[in-house]
Amino acid sequence: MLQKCENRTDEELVSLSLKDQEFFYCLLSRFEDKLLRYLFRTFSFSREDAEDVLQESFLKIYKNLNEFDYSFKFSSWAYRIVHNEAVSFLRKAKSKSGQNSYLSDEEFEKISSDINLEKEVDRKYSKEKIESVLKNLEEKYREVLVLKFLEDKSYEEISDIVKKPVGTVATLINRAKKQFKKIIEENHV
Amino acid sequence: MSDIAKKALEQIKEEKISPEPKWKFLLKNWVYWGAFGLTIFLGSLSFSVVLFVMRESDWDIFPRLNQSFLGFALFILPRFWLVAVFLFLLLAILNFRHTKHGYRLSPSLIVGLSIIASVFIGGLLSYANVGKYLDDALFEKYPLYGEVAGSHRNVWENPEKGLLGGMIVSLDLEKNKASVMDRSRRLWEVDLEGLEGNAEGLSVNFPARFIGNQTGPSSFSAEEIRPGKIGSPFAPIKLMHPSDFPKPFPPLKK
Repeated sequence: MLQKCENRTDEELVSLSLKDQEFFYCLLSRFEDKLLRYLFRTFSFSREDAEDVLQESFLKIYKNLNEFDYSFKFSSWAYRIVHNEAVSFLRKAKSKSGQNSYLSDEEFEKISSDINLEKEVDRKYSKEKIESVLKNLEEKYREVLVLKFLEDKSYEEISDIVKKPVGTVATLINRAKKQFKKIIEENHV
Repeated sequence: MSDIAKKALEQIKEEKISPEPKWKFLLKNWVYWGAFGLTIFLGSLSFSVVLFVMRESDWDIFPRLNQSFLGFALFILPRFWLVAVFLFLLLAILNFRHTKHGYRLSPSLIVGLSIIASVFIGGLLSYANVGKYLDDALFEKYPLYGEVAGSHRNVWENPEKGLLGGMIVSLDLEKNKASVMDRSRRLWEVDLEGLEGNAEGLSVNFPARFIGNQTGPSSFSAEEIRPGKIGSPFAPIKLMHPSDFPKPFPPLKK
């Protein structure tokens, strides 16, 4: 089945999923790892909670397939549903804080240079400490930083995911960078 | 097979979950657009009453009420309708934000466009006197409305300050006298002598506003008269010379 999906776009798979559930599996498997990582990074879920939220999100995506607007990227729409599901999960029950290390070395380098850390702080900081700074950011700031620098989303995609205008997203990212640097300076991370 | 995707697919099959029909999502979006349109219209309607009240108010009478112009403006300000405009505007913005692409516009742009739409449509409705119709209808049917939002009319319930409004119930032009019933159904004998012949066009069943002096417990001497209502609902509101007043019924005596 996965071979049949190989050369198809995400949007084509959405159409096919409405006729054959097996194509939906292809779609999910393309995004499972990315979305799980996004949940760890943004919401600091434990593995168990993140998996529960993701499974619920997959069911919601399937139920709402007919709502998908083909002028969007499927990934933005899927991230948005996962985002909503995570927020709703957090509202219902305070999640157990996970202890997952969720930054790879490459990602650590990337976020450090993207936020211009080298100009502000010594590059000797460990990725664990950067993770701890990310965890200390307000959720709205953490989310846009993760989407921009770790998930490589464009401003338009982030706007579609968090349902905020592009201008607001740009402002949030700027503020998030400032808060990130401030936390580093104040805590001598 | 990856774990979570596999579990989700199994659950979909086991529980026979199927996608919601497309029309439900289309309907939801249309409902938000409809609610947006409705709240813009209601906000515009409220704004047309604000315009009507501001236009209809007699801005020259504030000295008679011993008020400054600013004090009078604050007194006459249609607060009820301004609050209504604000609330409908807020609801319109919330409805717009819930439409499919509503989040893409910045809140300030949505607020700006909604205000422009409300002012434009409200202006048109006000030009067509819809604001006046609404204000009249609410005032006549709901006494509470008069208490809450009728300050522009209640101004004319100050005979001791020389401002009297009411319906002409009888008229004697030979003696220059008129009987006027105010809103609390109290009868006033109004001396028209001071109008210097301008009472010619008056008729019974005609609502009017008198400026003059209270001369007794139920008597009033008029120096100036202003129409209480216009003839055609779509005619522009203006101060009319008494000779322009409509004559729905012939005078009782002449």
